[in-house]
Amino acid sequence: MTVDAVYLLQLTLNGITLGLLYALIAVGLSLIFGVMEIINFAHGELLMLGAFAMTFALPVVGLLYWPALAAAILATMLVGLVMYEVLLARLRPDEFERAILITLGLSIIIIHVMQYIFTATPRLVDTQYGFDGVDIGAIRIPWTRVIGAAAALVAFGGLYVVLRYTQFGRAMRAIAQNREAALMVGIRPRIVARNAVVLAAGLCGLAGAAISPIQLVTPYMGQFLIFKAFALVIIGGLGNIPGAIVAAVALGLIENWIGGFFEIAWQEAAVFVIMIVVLFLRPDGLFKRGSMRVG
Amino acid sequence: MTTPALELVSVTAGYGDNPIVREFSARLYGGTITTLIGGNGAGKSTLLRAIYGTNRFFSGQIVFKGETIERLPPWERLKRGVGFVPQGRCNFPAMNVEENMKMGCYTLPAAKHAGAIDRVVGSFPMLREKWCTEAGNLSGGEQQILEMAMVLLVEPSLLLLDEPSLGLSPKMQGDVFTTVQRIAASGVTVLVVEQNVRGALLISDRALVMEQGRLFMEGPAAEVRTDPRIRQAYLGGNIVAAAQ
Repeated sequence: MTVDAVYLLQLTLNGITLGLLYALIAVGLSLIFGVMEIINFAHGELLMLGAFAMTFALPVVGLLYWPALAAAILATMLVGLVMYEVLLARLRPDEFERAILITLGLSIIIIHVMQYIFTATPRLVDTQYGFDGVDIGAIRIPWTRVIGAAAALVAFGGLYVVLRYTQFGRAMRAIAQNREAALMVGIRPRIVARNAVVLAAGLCGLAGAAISPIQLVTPYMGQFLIFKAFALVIIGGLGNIPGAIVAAVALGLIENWIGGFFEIAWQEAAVFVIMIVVLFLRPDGLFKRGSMRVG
Repeated sequence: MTTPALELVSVTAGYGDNPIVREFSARLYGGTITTLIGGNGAGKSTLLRAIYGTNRFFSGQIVFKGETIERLPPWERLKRGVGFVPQGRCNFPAMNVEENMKMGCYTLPAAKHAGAIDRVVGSFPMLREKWCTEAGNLSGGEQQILEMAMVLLVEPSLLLLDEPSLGLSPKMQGDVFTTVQRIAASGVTVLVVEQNVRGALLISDRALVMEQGRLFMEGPAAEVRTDPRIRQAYLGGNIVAAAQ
């Protein structure tokens, strides 16, 4: 097997885009875990809903990318808000098992309701950019991939600023670090938890909308993503946001490289093989764990 | 002594379905330091949590500045002037001192943050020196000072302190006691639970003695300090045994 440099470059760039989109999911999962101490197993479905929202919004706005993206993000945030108010708000921090079953159940319900309404037929999404892109020698990187990666980077920058410099975001880190101290300074945990869920849903909406022109949109697209994202959150050091981002980009690269050179089946198995190996060698993940560190 | 700053009327409180504090009544007066004494499991921390609202309240009344507050959530009590520094390290360990202080301003309008921080840091210059240090990397005594400072940002008129000197060196314990005296001298009413009973009684005006969730004895700190039952209880044995 000879390694073609152009082919490798293409795999690498695609891997970075995919990794950044994974990171959006993992960061949202990490946020919700930090504030509520639950794993939201319906997180992948938020991405799927974001992708569907994009497919429905695009024709309405004449295939314009940005208005459709904004609509998809808002729609997903709204779903997150309803999900929090109806289900998650009823959970206490010590109800870990209930949280797993409720969010897992919700995930399965959403998938099947979506399949019933919209069928399992994969949808191909077209945008104003079509297959236009940046030409690098013999390869072309479609604009939709470039924009997806750039939007994710902007989102991480925005998230960093919010968590580091605003009381709104700092309160999320505060609860993750010490619940009792959060009460001591007058933080209202439920308000902060709601904000975190809506913010995380927005990140999922962005990921789903950005991924929809890149991958086929189906009701199942989020199903395995949650387990990957969960693996990334653990590998990145539970609660460590930059750790999750680094792990996600690394995973995107590894997946694309493996998918590019080996049987496609290895691609899916690789992430979990890596997770298990990492957890044996470094039980707390690769980076410093906990406390919703942002830097 | 005029109207009490805080009045507890037959307070019963605890966790889940278990009342720990039972029918506890007491009055605290403005600008005084009151020490709450009692054996392990007597319900001292439970009583402080009940006053701040972070555990289950069963019955009774808590009257603060003429208002009954026992059904209000903690943040509403904080806004009315009840401050509570819980036991153990109660700060945000992966945030630096600056961020911890900003979190202390959480219930204040943004325009007041800088002024409040300047005022409190003025009384605790150590905080300025450690401004960029993560709270988790401060010494135990520094963390305790930070936690009190975080609550003082909102200018509470009542400060509840749960074991402020726990785990500190004798020198740091002295510093914490001096700080508590300074806080009270500025007009804040202090209710403190202390494992260092001797030290706490020396700086206190009054003492409440609690045993098995109930008020066992109360009086001026100087009297309680010389009471033979108290002396015996805190040199070994417990108060109930000493009373019999």
